[in-house]
Amino acid sequence: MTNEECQDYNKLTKEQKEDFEYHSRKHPDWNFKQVMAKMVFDGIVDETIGKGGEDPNPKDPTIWLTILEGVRTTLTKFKSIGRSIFIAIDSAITSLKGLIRAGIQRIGDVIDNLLDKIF
Amino acid sequence: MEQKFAIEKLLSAILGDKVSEGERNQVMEAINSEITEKPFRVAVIGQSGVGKSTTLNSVFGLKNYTSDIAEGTTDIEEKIFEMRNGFNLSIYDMPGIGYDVEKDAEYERMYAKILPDCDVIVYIINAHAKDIGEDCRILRDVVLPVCNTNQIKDNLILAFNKIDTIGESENPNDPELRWNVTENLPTEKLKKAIKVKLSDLTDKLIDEKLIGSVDAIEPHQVVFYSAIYNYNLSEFLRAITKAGKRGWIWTATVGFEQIGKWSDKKLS
Repeated sequence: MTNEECQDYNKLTKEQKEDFEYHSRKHPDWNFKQVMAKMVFDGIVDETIGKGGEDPNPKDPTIWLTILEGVRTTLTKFKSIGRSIFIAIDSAITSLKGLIRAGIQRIGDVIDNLLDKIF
Repeated sequence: MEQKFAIEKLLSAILGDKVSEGERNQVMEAINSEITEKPFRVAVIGQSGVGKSTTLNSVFGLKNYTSDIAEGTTDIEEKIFEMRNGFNLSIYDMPGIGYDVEKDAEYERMYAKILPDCDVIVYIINAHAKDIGEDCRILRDVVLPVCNTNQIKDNLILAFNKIDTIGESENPNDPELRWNVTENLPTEKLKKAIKVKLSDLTDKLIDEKLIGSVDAIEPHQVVFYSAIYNYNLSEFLRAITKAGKRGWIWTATVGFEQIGKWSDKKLS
């Protein structure tokens, strides 16, 4: 493993490390990135099947974060857009990221208030 | 300025009184021009029978869309659908490459001509297929090279449809492996079968260096769903939102109102 890969590996939980070792033994020809991709995908499958394939949620803050990041990138093409706009959008993106990191339960009121303005 | 789409309303709320009215109008004009200047272009690729029509019905809300593209054709027409307020959706319905390696060059030319203009490229595979080797070959040798050359790899979504039929293809006589139509969910036994099958499919994708390798796609670009039962469309919408530079436009405008539009659940 490279230094970066070691750092990523050390961030894994005990259970995740066991999964990593299991997949590495099962596929000895896979490199670090391939094993991690497998773990990410298995995690997505477990979570999705576990949740029961939820309907799209128009108030999903993670989707709106992606949208805002896309908007911000798009606006960089337009020379007329001033710095204050980017400051305001960056502030919203930072707040949203912080709320998502803090956990979905906390997001409820704040994100509902923001997204209630649009739905 | 009238706000027609959810993203405009959200931006207005975010900008609030932090910017002048003139600056706010500039932003709205910029975003509106990005949304309406050209259609949101989606290429849908897949062999006959993988569910292209149903996917376009359920994910993009195209009522009664029928894929009438003939196998083997390389003459693809753009079909444009008016959404609302000047926003249009454009579909390139493309056949999957046949199993004739000698025709690869012809298809590569077709993909090279059309795909670079597309905001989202959806490659659909039947999730219950016994062998996806040929699809993997096509993705690895034809589709991904075109995407990488044109720096549009992030626009690609690998979509495994018909996960509802995974159980039946294992054992058509086992009722526990059939989709629970009443709850519109997989049975517990079918959930396990789906996990096993998807795990095998992922192993194959990794072995073929389609994910987890240089120039490969990321795990979030792989979605599994059932178009006919509108199952797991939320992840499909998430993948569209993350696609390339313009994927966000679909979800920020009509994405939520179009998805599953014609499902029984929404109509009742």
